This record gives sequence, structure tokens and C-alpha cells, in this order.
Amino acid sequence: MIFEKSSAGKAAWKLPPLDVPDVDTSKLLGNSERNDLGNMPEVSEIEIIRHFTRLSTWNYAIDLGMYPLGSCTMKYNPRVNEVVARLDGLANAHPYQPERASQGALRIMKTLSDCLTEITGMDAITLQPAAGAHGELTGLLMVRAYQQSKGNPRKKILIPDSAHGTNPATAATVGYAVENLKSNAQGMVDVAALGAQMNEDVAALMLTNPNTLGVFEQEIHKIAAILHAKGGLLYMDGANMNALVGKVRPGDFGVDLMHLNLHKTFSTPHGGGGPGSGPVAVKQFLEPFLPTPVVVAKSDGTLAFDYCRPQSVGRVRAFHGNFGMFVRALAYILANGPDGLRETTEDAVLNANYIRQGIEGTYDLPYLTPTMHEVVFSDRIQAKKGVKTMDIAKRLIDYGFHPYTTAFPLIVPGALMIEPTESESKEELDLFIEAMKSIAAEVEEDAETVLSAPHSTRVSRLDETAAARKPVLRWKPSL
Amino acid sequence: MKHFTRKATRHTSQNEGLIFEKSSAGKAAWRLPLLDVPEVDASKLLGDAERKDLGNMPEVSEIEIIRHFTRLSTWNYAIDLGMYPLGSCTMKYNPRVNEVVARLDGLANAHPYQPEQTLHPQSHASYEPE
Repeated sequence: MIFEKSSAGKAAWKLPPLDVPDVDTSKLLGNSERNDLGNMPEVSEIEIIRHFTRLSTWNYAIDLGMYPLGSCTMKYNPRVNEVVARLDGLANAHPYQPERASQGALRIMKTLSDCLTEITGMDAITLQPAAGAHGELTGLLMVRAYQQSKGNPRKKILIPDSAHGTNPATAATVGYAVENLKSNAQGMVDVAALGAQMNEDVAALMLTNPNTLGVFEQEIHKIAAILHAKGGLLYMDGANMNALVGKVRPGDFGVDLMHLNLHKTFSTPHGGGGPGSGPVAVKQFLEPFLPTPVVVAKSDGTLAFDYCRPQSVGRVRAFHGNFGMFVRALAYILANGPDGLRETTEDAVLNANYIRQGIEGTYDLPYLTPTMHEVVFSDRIQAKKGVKTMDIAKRLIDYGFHPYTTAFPLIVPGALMIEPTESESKEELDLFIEAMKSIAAEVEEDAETVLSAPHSTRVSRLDETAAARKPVLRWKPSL
Repeated sequence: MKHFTRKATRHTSQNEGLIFEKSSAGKAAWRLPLLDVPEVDASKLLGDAERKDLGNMPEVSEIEIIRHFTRLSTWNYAIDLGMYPLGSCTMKYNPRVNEVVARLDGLANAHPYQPEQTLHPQSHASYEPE
């Protein structure tokens, strides 16, 4: 801990002699004057630099190797995004700048909005939500506001059993009951069952397409028709848009509103490098409900924020969202162009299918339906030797890879959910396939090696239950 | 453990070959927009000096370049990681403020063939407090 390196009175700075009149802070601030720093680490500059440089070498990151975390789309964050985001005028812009001094920033928001509505086939968008689940929340608040405007907010949201856990959590937060929708033998929504469950109590269906098995919902147009016939809305969780960009547009297959994850599909940093960004795109009839403010073009061609929106669900984020992510996402879109984005989608699907082909048979594939940008195996074969998906994931660390997503989606017991993204070269994919086959062989010959993995790391198996049940979220001197 | 050390411990470290060994013919880390100026005939312009191929250069993707050097950087020992007591070498800390100043646009992008009057900034005066 940097606090443990602290030495009272040590400072990493040295100021030149004061060349302006001294100010009496106690007179100026009264009781608000702070006489000490509180519990801050007092260290030298080299100690700070070494502390964080050492920690950075403990990390695994997309810049070190493949990060096949299914459903998370851990793609490479192009350096050009970072160059653009660091341009003085953008990096030092302030949200309280007057609009006339913010035309460039507003233009970025407007251009990104136009690109994203074009890519999704929707009509309008808000960039405010800070991440995917926040986008879901914003979307369902709009669903509720829309249904309310029709006279009845309705009672429930339908959610397939393969959905991300955030979907039911979002529905509950917005005050809806959740009704589970069973998948059929192909891992898709059972359209007949949906027809039976749909009624005028249903406000919306939340659907991920392709779903969490990586399977495209081929009957999406029928699903949309069933919803719309009884006044329900089709909400799409856009977490898996990396399989669709430039190929099909949700707005063309009946989706009424959806969120995007700029930190997945559009290459902005993810995880520790965040923050995220979860814009929500909607069809025209939902536009009045978008969070306030929205960017509008004035008659003189300049851009402005429009706050006068009586039907809006209100503001969902301080200022205008995570603006730095808008800059990066737009840089990614413009650097790729339409053909580049299309090729990206093709490569993402190709890479996932290369892995599927490479380890099918070695690992059990519970659904044989063709998959897109990710593939879900199960640990059924290895479980016979007592080795579970979590053990295989831990062993993968010793082979130099980040683990895949374990135990999700819930409809596959012992799931291994693998999403390589388009970023990976054939060479890295081959190394991954080799590692997965090698681990499967270890399970047969020496299961203990896998069960006690990882062996090469600073720490091995942590007590994950205690970490979840009794999390220690801050360091205290007494500990 | 008899020789227990508080400073270092084991750690996953990825193997890394030469960047030339990762090369795949035709792979590129760049993509240019369509040409929006008249095309130039390089062979006419350069004659014998025209270069038809890259020679023996590694052809890799951007992420392969980034990973190659990032992985190698974790193999290194440096003054930013710990003490470097190399006698006679004075391996002292390189203050970050030096790097900030050296990266200022006007300094980082100055060219030795710039005319002298553009190399004598009024900046000389502006550095001195008035």
C-alpha cells in the first residue's frame, strides 16, 4: 500500500518562493480551512512512480494478450483514439463552457449521434448513460414514460432465461415485475411460448441479439410483431452489437429502443481503463422521452443543448455523459469507415468460429446452432474427472491468457463463454486453442495440476466467497 | 524460507519472440483513406532510387506491435522499478517534469534546419518574469 510507504513530512514537490502577496487562508475560509491533509500518503516522486509502475507489471491487460471474456467484447483500444482524446481543446474542455465556445465538442456529440443512429437503424439517441446497465435503466424509464403516456405503465417485462443478469435487475429497479421466457432447443426464444405469454400487462421484452449463446434470433421479426400487436415494446440489449455492425440494423428488424456499449463495440477502454458509456437509441415515437438535454442544430447552423422537453424522463447523468468516450468512439468509427466496420464484424465472427472449430470435441458444445461473435462450451466432459469450468479458467492463467467468462449464461451448466473479438491474430488464436487442448489433456492425466491452478502467479486461489460476502473495500491503518 | 525477500516474488511472465518472427506477409497495421490528391508516378520521380519493397521489415498488426513491446517492457528492470546501484553510472531518477517540458510541441517538433530567427524565440524573454 502506498500508505505503508508514508513518512511524515516527506513531499514530492517543491514550490518557488512566493512572488504574489500572501493570503491569510484562515481569514478567507474561516472554519472551512483545512489545517492538515488528513490521512494522505507522504512519499517522494520516485516512490509514487515506482509504486504504480510496479503495480502495472502485475496486471493482465488487452495490451499483453488475448482477453477472451465472453459477452464483454474486450477488443483492442486503438492508440489513435487516445491521441485524439488528448488534444488540448478536447482534454481540457469544461462542461460549463458557454455553448458558443463548445461548438467543437457539440459537433463531436452530434456526429457520433448521427453515426450511431445510422449503424443501429434508429432515429434518435441519448449519449448520457455511463454504462450498459445504466443504458438499460434509461431505456426502461423511457418505456415506462411511453406506456404511461398511453394511459397505463403496464406491469411486467419479459426476459429470456439466457439474458444478462442486469436485465431483470433493471426491470425491477424501474418497478416492473419480471417474467421469464424459456429458450427452445436451439437456444433461441420460443416464439410460440412468447405468443402465449404476451398480453396487455407486458410493457416490453428485453432481448439480446445475438443472444448470450452467440446465436442470432432468426425469428426476431416475428418476435417484434407479437410484441407490437399488443402494444408492447421491443428493447434490445446491444451488448453483442459487435456481431452486427455494418451487417444488419436492429431498427430494421423491429427494435424500438436499444442501448450500445461504446466500451465494447466501439473500442473505448473497458474495465480498469473505463469509464464506460451506454448510449440509448430510439425510434422517432420515443424521441420526446429522451433524457434532457439533447443536442440540436439551430437555424444558423450552430449547435445547442435543448432543455425544454416536457415529456423527458429527466437527466440521468451529470453534465453530458462520459464525453472522453464519445471522442474515442467517433475516432474508431471514422478510422474504420463503413467498410472497415463491416470487416471488423466479419473478423469477430470468423475468430469465434475458428475457436469453436478448434476445440469442439475436446470440450462439450451444448448447442449446435451456428454462432456468431462468441461461443459457449460446457465443462461436461472435464466434470467427469471433477474439474469444473472455474478450474480450467484458473489454469488458463498459467498459459498466459486471461480467463474466459465462467458459469454464464445460466442455461448452460458449467459454461465456458469465449469471445476473442476481431483484434486477435491467427497466431494468438492458435496459442489459445493449443492451451485449451493442453488443459483438457492435463485433466485426463493429472487433474490435480488443474484443480490447484494457477501455479505461476503471486497469489493462487483466493477465497472468493469471503471476498463477495465480506468485502474489504478500503484500507485502514488499523488493519 | 531462509532467503525470504520482501521485495520480489514469482509472477506470470509471457514468452516473447522477435517481432520479425511474428511477421505475416501482407499484414498491415495501417489503413489509409482514399487518395484525394492527384497520384504521383514514383518511378518517374525517383528513377533508380525507387524502392519496390519494404526489405526485411516485420509485417504485423497494431495490437501485435503494442503487445510485443508491452510484454518486453515487463521483462525489464529500470530506475522506475527500483534502486539501480551501478557504481560510477549515477543512475538517478529522471524527473517527470523533464519529460513534460521536452514534449512541448514547439520543442519536440523543432527542426535543426529551421531558420535561425525561428529558433530564437521571444520565448527567451518570456521565460523571465517581468
